[in-house]
Amino acid sequence: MKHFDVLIIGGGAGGMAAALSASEKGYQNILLVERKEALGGILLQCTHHGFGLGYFGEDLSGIQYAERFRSKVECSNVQVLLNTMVLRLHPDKTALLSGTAGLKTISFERCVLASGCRERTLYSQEIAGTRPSGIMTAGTAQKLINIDQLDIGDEIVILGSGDVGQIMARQLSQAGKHIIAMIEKEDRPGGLKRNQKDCLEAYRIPLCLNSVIRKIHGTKQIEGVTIQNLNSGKESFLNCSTLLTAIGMIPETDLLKTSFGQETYPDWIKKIGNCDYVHDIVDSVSADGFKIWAEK
Amino acid sequence: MARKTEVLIIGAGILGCFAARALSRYKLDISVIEKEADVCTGISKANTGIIYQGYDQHHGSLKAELCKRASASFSALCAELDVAYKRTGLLMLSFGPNADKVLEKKIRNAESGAIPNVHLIGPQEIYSFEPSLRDGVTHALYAEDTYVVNPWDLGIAAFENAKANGTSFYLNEEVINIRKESDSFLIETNKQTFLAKRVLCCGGLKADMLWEMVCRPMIRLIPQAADYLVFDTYCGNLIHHVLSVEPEEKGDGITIVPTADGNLLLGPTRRDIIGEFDGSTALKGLSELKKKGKWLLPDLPLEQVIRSFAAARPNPFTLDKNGEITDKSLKDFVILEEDGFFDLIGVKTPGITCANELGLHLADKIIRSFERTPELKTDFVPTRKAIPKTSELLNKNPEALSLLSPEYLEIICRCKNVSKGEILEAIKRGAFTVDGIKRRTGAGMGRCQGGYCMEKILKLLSENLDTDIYQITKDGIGSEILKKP
Repeated sequence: MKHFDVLIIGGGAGGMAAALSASEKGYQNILLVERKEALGGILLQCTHHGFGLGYFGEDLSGIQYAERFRSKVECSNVQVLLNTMVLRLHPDKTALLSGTAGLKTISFERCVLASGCRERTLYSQEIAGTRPSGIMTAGTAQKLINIDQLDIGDEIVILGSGDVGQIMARQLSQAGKHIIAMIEKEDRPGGLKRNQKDCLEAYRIPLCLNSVIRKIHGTKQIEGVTIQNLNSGKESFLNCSTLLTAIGMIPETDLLKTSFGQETYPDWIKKIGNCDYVHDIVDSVSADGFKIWAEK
Repeated sequence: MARKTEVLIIGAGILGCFAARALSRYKLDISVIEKEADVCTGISKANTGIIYQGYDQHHGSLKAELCKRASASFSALCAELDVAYKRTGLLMLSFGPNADKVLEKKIRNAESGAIPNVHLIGPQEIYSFEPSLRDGVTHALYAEDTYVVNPWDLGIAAFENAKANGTSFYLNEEVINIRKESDSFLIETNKQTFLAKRVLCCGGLKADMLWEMVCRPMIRLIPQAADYLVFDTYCGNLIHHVLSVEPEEKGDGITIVPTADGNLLLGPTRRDIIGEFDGSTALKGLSELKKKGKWLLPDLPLEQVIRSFAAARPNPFTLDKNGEITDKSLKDFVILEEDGFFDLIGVKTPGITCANELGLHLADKIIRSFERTPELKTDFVPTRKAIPKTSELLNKNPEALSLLSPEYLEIICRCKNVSKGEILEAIKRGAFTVDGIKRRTGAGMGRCQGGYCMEKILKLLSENLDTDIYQITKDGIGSEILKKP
């Protein structure tokens, strides 16, 4: 069984920073495990700018930001394992890994969980009606469009006004799509101030505040949604071909739960970045990754 | 030219599939037509998946007889078809004297029907089984031999086995007209015409309409809708038995199922349908479920709902001489029969329980209706193997996993640890839609609901079916996931 001083799970912004930092602090045997085919995590689907202002003092795209870190990792002594998923952690500090290279167990001294977050789905909301095609999270849409160069429809309603939703609203508007409305249950849009200005205001995205979706219509394809204004109680129908959800993120700590149960996990595991709590900007995820080895 | 077949089955739901499997033991040419893009999509996929013992069935009824047999043979059936199930047992709970009386009556009914392992238990035992249960429970009917299964697993297993034994399946084919022609039937679909000696209709919500294409109206179906909620596997250990509540006052109880996949399933509600049923859930139903669920299990984490769905149940009512609907709702399974046209009509609970037994029963009727009894095949294969499950092998038998193709180690669905190997095998077995993959492998059924894997599955379908990715659908033509610019 191969042994490592440090096992880092997740090769996104946080994981790469934690790996580099471990290397700088003098750890010798560092393994960074990433389930996708490249390092970068969610950054790889972010073609838009606004990354790196805090960390590099430059305005980079997500892809460029990831690239800067990736080349640093490649020049370091960090060992990278791509296309590999950590399936289980065990109390004896071993981990079960699965991937194109097969199934293997490794042992380690320290473990950093940098597994990021996932998007909340439609089902977390009280929404009735059908479940046709044409409904997806804003992040899935971003992946389909930016990585796979595919198209998701022209008449779009966005539920929730989180950052990913706002950024997708801008990108889709730029691509000539019609954003019919962005539906937000609070009395103001969510997300960063700068996104509100650069995405919502600049592209005049119609915002329905204090509103929720009550029902989804359409059997095979989504045909529209019934929205309700929470203040007036008034319901109205919006036609659409696509519904994107941008209703928040949940830290992805499934590996801990499946390995150790619901509540607790051993103290030799450190969570960093978005799997600890959801950060507003990637620069602070990277900073989180660098902080982790301060104690050595 | 009409396609000739000896038995034509209309509807490839779980009942049609099991009837086909039962008939495929004989030297017969059997065809099954299904209007949807896949088998087991209607009522067959949207129900609690409970295998009942039949303790509350009326003696002498077909339901009672088949239920009892089905319960006794269920584990053997699952072994034959390699279908996963759990023997959870069921607790039907009472919270007062009225419900107590109902339970006692059901216990007496079980005793006189010689149904084994059904007895009344008191609060101490109930709370030792189910510590998360609310206080105030007075008694429970404990049906120890109650099982849970994924209903689509069972139906798809029957489909694959019937197919392996020579049954032809035709998907996306809807019956337009049926005509009696001397000793045969001409069945016209949207694609072709069949000439069949016998017709078996397992048409679910359309079973009455199909009957009336050839025979005098006798029964009308008035569907009612039911809503369900699915909770994440993190809640799966909150309960260990199927729990259902016998209401103390008038109204519907509630059922909570620890599913075969380790989720919790809450439902059904019961409500009337206005117009054609389109699969819509109702807000009222969903919030009623949450309220009742929280009432029964105070620790139920409502934020852990990962899916809701609705289904329609066909309620059969008899028609009077003038063809008017009477208020007489039929309680037993109904099999109409006229000159070689058989119609299984209005099957609801315990339809999943009895699927195999109903199939055998119908096959028997059809076989006996032939003048020359068809012979049994000598090469009938009763067994079928399920797609290997990476997630299961990881826990139980990692060595076996290393013997499979390396694709079984590439995880595609992060929530349920479904591998690429499983998805490719599902495609090989006939899945060509995203939902078809989901039902056969579980991919996309977890907490992120396909957020991570849907894109990967689209690509795998497109590559392996050699189909443009824009033509890949959720569940058949018209439900394309992507929109071609």
